[in-house]
Amino acid sequence: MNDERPLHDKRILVVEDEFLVALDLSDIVERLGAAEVRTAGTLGEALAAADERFDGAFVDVQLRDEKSFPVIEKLRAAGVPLILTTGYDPGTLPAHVGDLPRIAKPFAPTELRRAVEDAFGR
Amino acid sequence: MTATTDLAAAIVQTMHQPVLVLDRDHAVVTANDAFLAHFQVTAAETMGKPLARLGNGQWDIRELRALLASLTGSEQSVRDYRVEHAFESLGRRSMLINARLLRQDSRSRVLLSIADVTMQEERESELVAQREFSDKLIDSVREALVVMDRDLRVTRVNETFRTAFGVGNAETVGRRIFELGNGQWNIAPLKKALAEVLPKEHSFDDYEVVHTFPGIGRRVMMLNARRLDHMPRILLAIRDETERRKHADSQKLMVGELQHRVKNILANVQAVASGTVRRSASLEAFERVFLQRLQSLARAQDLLTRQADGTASLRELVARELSAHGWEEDGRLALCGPPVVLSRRETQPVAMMLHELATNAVKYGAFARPGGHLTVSWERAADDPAWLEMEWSETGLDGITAPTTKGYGTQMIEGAARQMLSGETAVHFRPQGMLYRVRFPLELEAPGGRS
Repeated sequence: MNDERPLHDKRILVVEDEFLVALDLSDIVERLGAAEVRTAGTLGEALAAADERFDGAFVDVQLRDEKSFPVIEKLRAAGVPLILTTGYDPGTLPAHVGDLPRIAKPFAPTELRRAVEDAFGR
Repeated sequence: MTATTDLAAAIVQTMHQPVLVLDRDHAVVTANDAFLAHFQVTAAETMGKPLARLGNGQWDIRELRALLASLTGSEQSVRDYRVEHAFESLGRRSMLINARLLRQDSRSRVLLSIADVTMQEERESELVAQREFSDKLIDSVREALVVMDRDLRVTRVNETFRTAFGVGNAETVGRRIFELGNGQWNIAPLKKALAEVLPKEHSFDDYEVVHTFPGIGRRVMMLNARRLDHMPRILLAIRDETERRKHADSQKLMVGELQHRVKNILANVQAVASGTVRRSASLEAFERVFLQRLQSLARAQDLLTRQADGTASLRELVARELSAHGWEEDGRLALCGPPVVLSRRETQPVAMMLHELATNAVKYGAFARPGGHLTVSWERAADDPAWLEMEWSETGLDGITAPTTKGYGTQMIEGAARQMLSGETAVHFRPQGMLYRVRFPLELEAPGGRS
């Protein structure tokens, strides 16, 4: 694995309803080596996107008025490595997603890198 | 004869009420003990004395003289003759006097029985005053008040109650509270409180009852009740909390919504800062670009808060964004398009797009060189008026070519149009200037509808 570019050549899905946050995360992901980044802002968009094959995904747990659990389940079932992103106040996550690596917004670079290594590194 | 007189005297003596027997000259023949005791005089001071001379002339009362004068042959008795008089020793007294003229042979006697009604009248007027006071009090209270007897039968309701619950006295007084308005008040928690709590506790306060009334809808009420000890009465005060609760609830919602927005704004500012810092060669460059982006976000926010409904005019948004870059509508800048109202959700990405386009124009395009010209135009799409088509057209330049790399600003423009506005974009780098087109579905309909 490339230490500087842990997402080298990967196709990544970013599920995030705040566009500027999605843009920032996409930019970070590209810098970590991703070949392609696809963004989805709603649960519907995310579920449709998840029909395609991705090498990894960043998923915001709370989309505008809905939880993203259905798309999390779908990606997991397809064996896609996942990183959950949570807001300032994540509360407690249900048990079925509690074991997934997660990062809190705003993203700190070291924390992000650790989560990426956690999800993709082995 | 004497026996009769003695009997009469004895009867007079036994009476509880002060009685005087006068002769034809109105001198006292007999004064009973009740008289002596009540008016605090002795028999010696009284017997045989003319009435007018009694107690240093205290009994020389004009009304009494008139009463005695009226007892003539034709008018032999007077009842409840009211005399008010201020006695030296006793003070002001009110008396009701019954007088009767008795004739026996040549003798005539006047029988006066005197009822001192001073205390009674005082009590009565006090009672009237108290009733009036309590009536006024009950009606002046802002809370709805119900006065009931021990059987929970309504004896009174106040004006507030009648108004609040839309009932009159006729529909309330004399009925049990649970029967009011076809059983509208047959509320289980109220029944429990009145029938079970009150007999034990004497009172309860701030007892909340939520009930939906057929006429006035759902009400949140706070009830206070008192069982009176010395009167068979129960007071029930009802405060209508419905509006206050509604207000508090909407306040809570608004605070929640505000908090949500503040968090979003913070997340966005953080994202812009983080994206900008990665693309900045120096701290100075970061500061300039970041602050400009922040100011653009702030301008859009400012425009939204001006309108009570949180919308913004597209023309104003365009004009303000360009004005912030030093461009006013004149020979080099033209804005044209019909009035279009943007929703809160649309305003921020449109402002961001305009900001990045203007920044590029200042750096490389129409605003960077003399002769540059910009036209921003928009209209509703001919094939679907729910969609807006917007064009940013720079002209008057030459040798413009497409940039080799996509900057963060360009990514923001595309992302804003596609992701936040669910729209489509197209960019053409013409030699005379760049042409940028965006179309997106509008959330708000045109003022005249969509036709």
